[in-house]
Amino acid sequence: MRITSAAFALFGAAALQSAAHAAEPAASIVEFFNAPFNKYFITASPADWAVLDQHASIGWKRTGVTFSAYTQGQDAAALPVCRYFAPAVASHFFSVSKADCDLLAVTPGFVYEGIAWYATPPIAGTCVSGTSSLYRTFNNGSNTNNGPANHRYFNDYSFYQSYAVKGYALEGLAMCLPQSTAEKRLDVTRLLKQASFGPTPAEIDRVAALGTSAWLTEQFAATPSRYSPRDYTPQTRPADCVNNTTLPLTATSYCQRDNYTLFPVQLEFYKQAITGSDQLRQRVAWALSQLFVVSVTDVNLPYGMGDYQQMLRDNAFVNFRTLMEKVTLHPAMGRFLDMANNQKTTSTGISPNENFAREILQLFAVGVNLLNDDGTEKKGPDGRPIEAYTQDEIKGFAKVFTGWTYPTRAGVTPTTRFNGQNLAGTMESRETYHDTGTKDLLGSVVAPAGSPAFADLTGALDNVFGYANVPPFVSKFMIQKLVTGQPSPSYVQRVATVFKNNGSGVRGDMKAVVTAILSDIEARGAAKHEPTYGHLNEPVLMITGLARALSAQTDGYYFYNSGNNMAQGVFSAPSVFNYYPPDNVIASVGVVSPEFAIFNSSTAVSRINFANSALYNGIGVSTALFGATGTQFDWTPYTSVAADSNTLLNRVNEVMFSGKLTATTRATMKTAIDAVPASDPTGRARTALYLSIAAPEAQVVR
Amino acid sequence: MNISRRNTLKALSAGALASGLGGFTLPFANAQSAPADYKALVCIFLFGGNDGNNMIVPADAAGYAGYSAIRNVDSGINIAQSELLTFKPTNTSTTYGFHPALSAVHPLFGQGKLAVIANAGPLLAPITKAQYLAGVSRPDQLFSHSDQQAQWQSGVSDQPSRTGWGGRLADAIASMNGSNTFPVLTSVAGSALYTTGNAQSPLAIPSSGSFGLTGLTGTDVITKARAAALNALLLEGKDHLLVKAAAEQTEQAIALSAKVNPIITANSPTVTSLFSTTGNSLATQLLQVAKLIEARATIGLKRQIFFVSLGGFDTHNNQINIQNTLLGYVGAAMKSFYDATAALGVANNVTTFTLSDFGRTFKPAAGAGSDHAWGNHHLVMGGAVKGGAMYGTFPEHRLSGPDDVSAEGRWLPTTSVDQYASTLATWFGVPAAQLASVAPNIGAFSNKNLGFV
Repeated sequence: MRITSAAFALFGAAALQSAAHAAEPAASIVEFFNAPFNKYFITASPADWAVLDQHASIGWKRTGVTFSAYTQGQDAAALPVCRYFAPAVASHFFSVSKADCDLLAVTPGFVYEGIAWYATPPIAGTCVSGTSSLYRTFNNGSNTNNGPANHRYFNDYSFYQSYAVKGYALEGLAMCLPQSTAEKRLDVTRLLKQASFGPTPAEIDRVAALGTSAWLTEQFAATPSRYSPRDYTPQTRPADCVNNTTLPLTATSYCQRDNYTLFPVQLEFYKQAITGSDQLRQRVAWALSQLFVVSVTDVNLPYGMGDYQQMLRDNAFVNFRTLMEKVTLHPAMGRFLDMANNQKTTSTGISPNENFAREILQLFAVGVNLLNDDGTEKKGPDGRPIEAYTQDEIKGFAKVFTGWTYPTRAGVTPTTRFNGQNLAGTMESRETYHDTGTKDLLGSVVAPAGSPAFADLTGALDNVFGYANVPPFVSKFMIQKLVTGQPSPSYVQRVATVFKNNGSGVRGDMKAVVTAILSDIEARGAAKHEPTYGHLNEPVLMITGLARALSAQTDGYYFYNSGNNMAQGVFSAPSVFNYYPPDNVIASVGVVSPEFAIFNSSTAVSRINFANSALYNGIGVSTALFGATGTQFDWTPYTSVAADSNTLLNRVNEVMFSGKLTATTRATMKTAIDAVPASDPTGRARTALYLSIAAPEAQVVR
Repeated sequence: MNISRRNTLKALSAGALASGLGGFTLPFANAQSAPADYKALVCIFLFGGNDGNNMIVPADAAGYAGYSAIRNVDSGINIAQSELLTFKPTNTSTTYGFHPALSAVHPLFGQGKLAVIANAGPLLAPITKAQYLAGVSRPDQLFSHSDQQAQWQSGVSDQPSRTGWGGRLADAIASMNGSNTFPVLTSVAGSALYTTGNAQSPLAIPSSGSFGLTGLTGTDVITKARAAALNALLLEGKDHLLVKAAAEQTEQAIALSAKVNPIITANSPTVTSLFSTTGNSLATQLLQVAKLIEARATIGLKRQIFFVSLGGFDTHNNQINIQNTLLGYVGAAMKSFYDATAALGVANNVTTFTLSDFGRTFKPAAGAGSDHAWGNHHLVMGGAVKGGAMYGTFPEHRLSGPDDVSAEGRWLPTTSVDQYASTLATWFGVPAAQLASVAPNIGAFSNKNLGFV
């Protein structure tokens, strides 16, 4: 279909403002798709939009993809983008290159249609910071699935790359487009969904002003929130440690709940996740708690779980090798995976316990199959994956991890024997029980005989840390937790490269890895449109996200067990395999989505019902918590604009939908909001937020 | 490796992808007519790897001596001979003993309602120890929880699978349910690969409490508008595949909860009192299954598959106490469930069976536990079960012996998951020619029906 270019004259008139460098882009490019013709078309002309919108009957539909652009004179560095039409294939071509435009002008078969918009050309193959890359693909018409010859333009890099598989030629960076203030704010919202426990309205404003890089710097330096230190408790509950509900409560009223369940740790987790200022550290620690899993199934004493989770927080941004050792020697892990009091083969024929040995390889650092640096599996000559370690190597590591016991408790004189359980602190070696034989390690390395426990352990951890699988394995895991469940191989590779070397020759610098993940072009920039991008907001993040959208102040009580019926009780995974596996594929759509392994008809309704309860039922101050302060929401950002449902929807779109609210969803929500009288602004805000949690579009973070 | 089968699977997978489906496709369109009878299969998955070596113990003098020579008292995982609940299968010359915690179901064996499947595990084809050691026909990632759970649930051992054999069994018999769109599969234990088919996807229901959206029943204009908007929202944004999947799950939940919720929240005079659910989550789940079976006329399916589970079997330490507790739950829950089916008059129509990650090393591990292994023993229960017998071959309890692929007592399975699945599928009504769609390796085994049901 051919479109008149007459409308482009409008732009000149509209763009007579001075060319300020950071001018707000005044043009908007809208993408259309015609399914019967199998053609994409982009245009910044409102007249074109009107024509195409009127031709929905022959298949033209907006795809939802938009880009920003300059109009004439807005930016001194911007050049006109010429628009050519090739009638033979009924396709358009856009270029910011004067050479391209001049060539097409004298090339038969191309018809000049005018200036489409203004953009800046790439410099040395890249777009300068603050601008958005527009990539061009070309389908030459030879693949019938793709229809006749056509270009499609992208500004999210992985979506662009994914078109290679469809048979499109990736033609590279076409031009650089400005980002509108709205687009920049949506990037901030996405950042806060990826790297915090959800955006608050105030935090969006603050980070928009601060910028991503400065926010990361601030967050890396933020003081860690602290779980309250708790005294040692024996595994068996003393008979007099019970819950006494008599009012008024004291700090020790709920002895059993507060010392023999994870209640106090879960309470503090939610309180600090929702209100803490060290958001990135807590969020990364939450991700690490799903890598180095320790669960209530074996560690149900809060003094131990709190100590372990604090260790993960304190070490969220250290070197991965350091983290491995801290995890390995923490007695909560020692208890969970049986490394505590594990001993060399006994005279009665008992073997060293393989539990920790297996899982540090399989789950914590290596994975079951050999990986390329981009996270894809290596294949053997028979085309099958190659196992990353052998059973003999697991036995080797099992021998390494012998001769460690629980920390000696304060006031107790250490002995050469194994200690009884103590879940806080650092485990201690007991050489008598350590296997001093040789041990098979990864990559045909054999640990020498005669090494004491600590030397054996550090040697084995060095062996694992140096294994080639670790950078892609850990990088991909962290990308999945923070950004997207099915990252492109090149994204994994870019992050793994930083894992291997932070630029200063250091391997395993997690601060650099987190920075690389969150600064990557697949995480940042304009809206992402790839149909596999992002991840389902897992229950805990959905819960904190709603609380933070309402800038909640909370003592944590309302939330502490709210994820239980959504298959995500905090620190309560069914096993060391976490709540869900990183390679879970949604069978119906064939997309990797770890979180979907716990999304089913039962948990789906529980999520929506949580929103109903939290928003409508009122949250009182618990009479079962000493010093309870309850939970207070700040509705003002919503109620203050609720009189105009469109303005309310703009706010909800930004905070809850990362700007991805589609026109039809918006209209649907508006009808429900308008059903509430404007005299009830809280009712309108409730409706808007409830539907935001229920809407599948908002459940997927992207 | 079985090259031809792998290629066949690849070809099928490619076709499935092209048509937008994952995993395997049915080899041909099936059109069984609706059967007159009702049948249900109930899968109990014991997460963590139940130690079959202490669930079924040789109880005669020689057998027990072999057991206790390795699982001695010092190991901390010895079960005294006097504690074993002995049984003599009709088809063996040896007497065995159940773990003492299985006292509730022990009598069912004698009554012919319970059978033991010995030394079963994922296999691509019948395999010898020599072949295993040479790396021939070896399933991927043996001894790994996640992989072995997936292989037990999918029947696929040489590549990842997007579907489980329960799901594919549901695909194969879906036509028996006529035009009824109620899911063939119901999980009371969350999402599970076992329950995922190519066409069939499971209904997941909570094990307790109500199922359905709250706060939307008001008839005022505001609530009605909110409910209408919620339903409309489920239709939007589906060009994003995660949004589409989330919407479909939520739609299914809303559509089915109105029918299911009254069933699972009601107190059933017939079955509720049969279950002791205090502390026993498996009993809680099986009570839900019993209620759904009681309501089979309301639901209107001729064939149903249920999935329930119990976790905690990864007994690397303190095995004696942990397994004692867990098998106590299993035994009590299974017996209650059997009694419920009898009370409902469908004991012969419901077959219950166990799966688990893997067996555990026969040799004890430090901490009074055992490590990950391979072949394992399982239980099958129901009125249609040819009980009182042991199916398959019991392994020789000798470290590094003919049945041990290591030095720690990791039994080489002599019965495959595919044979187990095929036997149950045949009982369910799947014709022989279609068994491979359920159990992809079954062609490699001459015995396609173990005969236990």
